[in-house]
Amino acid sequence: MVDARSDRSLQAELEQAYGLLDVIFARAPVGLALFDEDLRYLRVNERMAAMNGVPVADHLGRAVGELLPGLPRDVEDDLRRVLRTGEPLIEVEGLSHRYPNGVLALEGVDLAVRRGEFLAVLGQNGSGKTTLVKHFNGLLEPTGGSVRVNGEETVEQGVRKLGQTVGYVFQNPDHQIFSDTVSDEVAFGPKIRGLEEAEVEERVSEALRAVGLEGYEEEDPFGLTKGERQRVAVASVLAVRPEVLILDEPTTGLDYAEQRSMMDLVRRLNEAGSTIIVVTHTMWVVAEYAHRAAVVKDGRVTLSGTVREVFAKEDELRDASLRPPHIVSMGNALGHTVCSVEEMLRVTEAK
Amino acid sequence: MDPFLYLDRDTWVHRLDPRTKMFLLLGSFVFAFLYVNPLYGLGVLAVVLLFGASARVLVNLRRIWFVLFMIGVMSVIMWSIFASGETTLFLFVEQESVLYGVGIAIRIIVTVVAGMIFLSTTRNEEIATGLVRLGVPYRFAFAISTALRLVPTVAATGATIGQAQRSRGLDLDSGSIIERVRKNVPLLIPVFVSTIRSTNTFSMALESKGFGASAKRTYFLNLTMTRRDWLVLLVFVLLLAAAVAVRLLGFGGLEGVSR
Repeated sequence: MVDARSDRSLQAELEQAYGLLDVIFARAPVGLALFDEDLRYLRVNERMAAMNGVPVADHLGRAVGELLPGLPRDVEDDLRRVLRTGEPLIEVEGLSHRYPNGVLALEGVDLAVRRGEFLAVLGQNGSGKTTLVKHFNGLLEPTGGSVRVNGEETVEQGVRKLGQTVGYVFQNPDHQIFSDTVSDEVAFGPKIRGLEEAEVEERVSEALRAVGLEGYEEEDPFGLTKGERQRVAVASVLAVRPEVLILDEPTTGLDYAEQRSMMDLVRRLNEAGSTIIVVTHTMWVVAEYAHRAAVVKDGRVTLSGTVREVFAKEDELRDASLRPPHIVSMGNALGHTVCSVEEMLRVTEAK
Repeated sequence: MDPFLYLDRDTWVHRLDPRTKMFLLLGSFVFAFLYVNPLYGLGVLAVVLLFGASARVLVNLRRIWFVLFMIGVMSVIMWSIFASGETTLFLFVEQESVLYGVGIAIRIIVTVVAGMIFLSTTRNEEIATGLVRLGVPYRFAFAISTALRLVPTVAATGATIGQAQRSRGLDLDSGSIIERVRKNVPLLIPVFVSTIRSTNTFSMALESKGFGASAKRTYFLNLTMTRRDWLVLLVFVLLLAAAVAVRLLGFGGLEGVSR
């Protein structure tokens, strides 16, 4: 991010900022610490050092967990995840949507999706969650408020252009599959965007590899199982290389093993850098896979935060007709929210 | 979005027996085709609209106005060109042929609006049961009610598929006519496949419920013709007879048009 033209002024600005930081760290009446994305200390002030009982110099480069053994490791993971996410990619401000038949499906929604996030959108049927995410790739236009993707209004960009940034996998794969072979189906997106044949081929094999369907190139997609057809649908969206991937109820109609492998696939994509938005009813999927959750109720986002924060508020969840998995409820009853059985085991183990 | 036309209101039209409404619908077709003269046609249209207004279902016009508008425009243009009359307006367009086009447009609009009012005031079950009570074989009545039910469902599926393909980059609004037709393949195949898949499930559901197990079946919905129904039919038949008489006396036609 070095612009030759403003190299000098940038340098000056940085020096000024660091100077300000020195003043804040020296004078703040509270303990302050600065971390890198692996949660290692970059700098601390005297107060923080006193609180941790370790000299300032000994902090640098050491992991948070090392100096704060009381910090639960899962909370530490949450922090690390938050630090890894980038700038806001999708910004929703005061979004309202009224359908032509007069139904107000969304009202005053504010939400930001950051690069690299794994967001779950929850809510009962008809709460407006699908309406909300359909605004992210321009399928619906706001009737009030604004939705910006990469800083530009979705209305200005249009579905066709946005489709390259925001991929949308529909709930029913049969609503998009039309080709005779899997590779033709996956090639549809890149081809229609005018890419060259070699590039298209590369992207098709890359996308099929990502969803674990190598060797299925010449299969007839209509002869595959539901789980496999869903993978074809995901691959056909991946082939366009979108930054954001929206999946509408990706686990509906799949058996447990298929749900697991589908969500493991989505997690791998997220770890490879894709921003993921999942619309779902399946609460254990949210608990185990998502980082952040937003609860939609009657067209409003009533809860939003890390999955742990959201699942800790069982009363509000029940109010939106949602119930966290039993292990989460059990954790809540014991006073610490866990997201999976593994986490429960980990935090109850003596360190 | 609600794909069905039916509006659940409590008006005298809604309370009529479906058989009465079917006769009214058929009768309104006769009304529509009785007069070519647009002036008389407008009168018929006004009566139909008044009927719809008293049933409080004219909001549905908002859903079909564009189709009606296009039919009207096309009819006027086509007949202005292809019918010939006596009084030339400009070039090859004559006054009579324009009026004829307007008359035909009104005819079509009246029939479509009457059909819309019928579907907006009559539930699907009522239509099927009404047909059976009129002596139509049950299987046939069932096919009609299924078709009525299926069309909006298929249309809704089509809309979803359109969204799915557009978000993958399909652009239906550009290119030559042949290209545009070819671009519809990604829409048509999923529509057919998902319709066939759901029809398959549908037929299994029917069989599991014992469809056609016995020749005669009973209905929860009990239809009875009330005095009100007979009164409405009587008034309607009198009106229709009067309208036919007016037409036979030579009014409502259009002089000087030849096709």
